[in-house]
Amino acid sequence: MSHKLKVVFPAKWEALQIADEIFNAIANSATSDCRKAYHIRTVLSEAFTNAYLYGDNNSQNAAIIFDICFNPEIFIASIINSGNGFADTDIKWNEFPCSDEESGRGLKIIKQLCDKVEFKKIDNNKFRVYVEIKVNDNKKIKC
Amino acid sequence: MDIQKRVEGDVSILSLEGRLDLTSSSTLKEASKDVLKNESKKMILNLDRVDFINSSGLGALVSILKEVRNSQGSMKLTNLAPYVKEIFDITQLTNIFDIFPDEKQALASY
Repeated sequence: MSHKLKVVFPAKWEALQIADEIFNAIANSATSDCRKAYHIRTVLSEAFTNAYLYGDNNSQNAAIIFDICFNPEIFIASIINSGNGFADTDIKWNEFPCSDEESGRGLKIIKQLCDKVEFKKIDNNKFRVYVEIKVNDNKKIKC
Repeated sequence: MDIQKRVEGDVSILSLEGRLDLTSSSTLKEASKDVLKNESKKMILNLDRVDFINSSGLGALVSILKEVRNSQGSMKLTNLAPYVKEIFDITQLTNIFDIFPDEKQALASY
């Protein structure tokens, strides 16, 4: 059985405060494997933070949209925000920032925790992050 | 994020509770700055009750570490939950921070 949901957050600081609670609830609904649930929560949080910090959020109606689908096998999320994003080829995915750099880890964490990731510029100044996480490929850890 | 402070000898211990992300990073940075300025150059951050950390939280810890080192001090982390530790591992930050299983061992290392 598959579950689908769409969550639209305003691209505002206030939304950050509640987004994590929603991500945590979604992650725990998607899998009973605590480690995988933590990965899902982390990926959603990183995607939101990245869209909030680097998206084009000047418009009053700027939004960060999560389209989510999951079943006992897989968790899929598509995160769309305003802005031109970046080219996948611009990032050295295997290199994490030096010790004294405070940023530059979020997208790489996403890449590490997901089984599939796509970053794509789509129409009308929108940018999409697509992620897939297999949820039943490890032994489940009891919460 | 809730932060409890206490002092053991010449070491300040900050016990963190909640999630360490963009919304809480400035709170932690301010608390650490206050400790450095007014209390001690030796600091332990106990992450026992940190149930979530993301790259913004890691960035805050890196920022604090830089500040501590610039002040000729030292900072140690303790009690990382397994899932929190995993995020440190995949970002290769376990090589940068002094991480101990508990406060007792961190204090003994000073």
